[in-house]
Amino acid sequence: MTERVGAVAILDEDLVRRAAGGDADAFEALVAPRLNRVFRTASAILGNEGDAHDVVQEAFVATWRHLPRLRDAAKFDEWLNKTIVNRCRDELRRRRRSREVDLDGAYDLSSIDSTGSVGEIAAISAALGMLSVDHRHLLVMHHLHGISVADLATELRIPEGTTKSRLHAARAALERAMEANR
Amino acid sequence: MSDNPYRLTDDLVTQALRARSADPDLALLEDIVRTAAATPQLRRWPGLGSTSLSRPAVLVIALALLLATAGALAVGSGLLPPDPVPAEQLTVAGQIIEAANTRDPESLRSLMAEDGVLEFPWVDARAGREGEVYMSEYAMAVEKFPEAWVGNLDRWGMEAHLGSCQAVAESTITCAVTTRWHTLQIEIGEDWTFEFDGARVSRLEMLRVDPDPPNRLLPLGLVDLPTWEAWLRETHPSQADSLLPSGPDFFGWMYFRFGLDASPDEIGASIDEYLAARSVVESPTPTPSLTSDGTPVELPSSGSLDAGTYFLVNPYQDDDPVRDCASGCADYRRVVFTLPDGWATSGGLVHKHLGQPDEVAFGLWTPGQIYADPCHWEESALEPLDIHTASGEPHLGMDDQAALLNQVGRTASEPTTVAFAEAGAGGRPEGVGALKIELTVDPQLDLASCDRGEFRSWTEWDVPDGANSHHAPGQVDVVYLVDVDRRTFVIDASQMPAASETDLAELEAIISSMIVVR
Repeated sequence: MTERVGAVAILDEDLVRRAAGGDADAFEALVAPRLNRVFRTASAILGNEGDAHDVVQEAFVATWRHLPRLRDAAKFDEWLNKTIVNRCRDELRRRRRSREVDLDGAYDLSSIDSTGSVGEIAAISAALGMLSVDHRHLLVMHHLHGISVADLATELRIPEGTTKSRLHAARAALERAMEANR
Repeated sequence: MSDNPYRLTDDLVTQALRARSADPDLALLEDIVRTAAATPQLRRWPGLGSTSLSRPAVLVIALALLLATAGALAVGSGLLPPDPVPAEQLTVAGQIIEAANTRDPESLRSLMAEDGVLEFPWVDARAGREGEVYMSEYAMAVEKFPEAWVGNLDRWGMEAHLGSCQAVAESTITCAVTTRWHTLQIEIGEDWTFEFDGARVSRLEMLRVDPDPPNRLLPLGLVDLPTWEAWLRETHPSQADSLLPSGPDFFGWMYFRFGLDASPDEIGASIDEYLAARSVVESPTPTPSLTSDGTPVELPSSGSLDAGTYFLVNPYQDDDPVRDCASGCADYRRVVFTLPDGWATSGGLVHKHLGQPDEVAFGLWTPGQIYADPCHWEESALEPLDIHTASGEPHLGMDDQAALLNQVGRTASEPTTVAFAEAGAGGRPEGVGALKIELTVDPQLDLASCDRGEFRSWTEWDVPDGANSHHAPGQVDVVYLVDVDRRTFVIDASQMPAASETDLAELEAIISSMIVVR
């Protein structure tokens, strides 16, 4: 059972073009329907709400700054998603460099339903924190946002077979991480 | 996983991700919009080509830039913003360039705002990723950051040359800058954008815009560094292990990614060696292929090749007492073949148009194990290569080659049997049997998404981290699994999608000319 927790906003390319032209109202109209989904993506990848807040804010502001360079308005969502993931990658790299205490695992256990125990969820979440950003992102898109393999393939611009293979690899990595944590 | 106490179901993965994720603070939207509205957008500047200046005094730079800007406005006034670049901003830009070139962190601090930041974005130009922007932002206020930054510039011998500048927004100018990284021997084009807060710079963005500018003074563009990495991995795998980053990374980070662990001296020396090998490859003087008595000669390690007959030796028949050859290497002494004009060799590969879309090449391999997933090979299963049944008879059925025939991201033809001529003490009149398979890399493969940017067919026997990684999207490899007394070696003939019919015919003729000497 995978539940869609973040609906995909329909892209208005005219809004993108207006925002690229410096229209801040148009930019707000682009950000508002996407913020919830983007924030959930970043927080699930990073496992930390405060970091996600910073990353999402920086990513949106950076998107605004670079928007005039986006040649194809139709690719706005794809571009935004990659920017978010890249920012998450930067953040995790920064954590490693600064050797801060890894905050992965600061999760909200109140959302656990009756089918999973606190221990199980905690173990999986800790293992998620050991995966590569790309693996985390794939699992977030598929299992958190409920994006089908076919839609993921379209979004990632790779064949469906490759998408399945990558999802399989991400799942296998998660299993290995759980094993390592045991 | 069998003894793991927890079940890993789709539902549990979803619950764990939901537990890790959160809804945004209500004020976040407002913060984003307010910050964006106060942030100037960066517009593509259609201005003139850069004018390289050797490191003059700051006032001279400013004067030259003013003249260049005036020229740009005169030529393209219909395209460019109407405001001229303020002289004081040009001066500060020149001073910052000077501080970078002289590795002066204190000057840098004095020129940047206290809350100023450096940003290192790059716009991806690779197919399928055009326009994708990557960003890394660093605050000047972080203790010792200016020292760390100029230290990094110093490690790589960076030298910036300022070209012409243009106003792109209020209090924001963008300048064309040529950067030379002497340790890496690369020269690239950048846009440096300076955002001002009063007389000081609040944001300095350094964007790579031309990774391979024409008429470079230094020998390499940024685009050459992946080729150097591939060369190093192929020719000096143990050195590559110590010098190159182990994880997948991005092309655009290239001259920063070496900054943390690897020694610049060693990297510079390796690049020197690479350049020397390349100059040999490009040498107009071909290597002679026959000795004075007309017998074939051993293929040189690198260089362009005259038409003639050469041989490649079995690298594992070296009487190494440590290596247990009986467990892996094939029993042949050498492979002789005849080349037409126009071929070259490097790193054990014989090739034409190396690195080009029309490349053709071949090489000999002694595979260790086969990667089930050549793109994600770091976590891939490895399977043995064995073309024999339990009874010891060569068997050329699909089932026995499952690993090679079912690699993820590559399609395989039905295997067929062929024979190569055989000579020497163990040579047989009927020749030596081989299994021929055509393997095609997915044309849609995004090589950058593969582990370390490599698509690996198989490991090389007895070479730590050695592997056949010479692959690109759409590449076809005609692989001959040669059966030498129950040991297998591989002749791998590869062609890129744009290979010409003439070159393919030459490649086929070369393979047909091969003689396996026992």
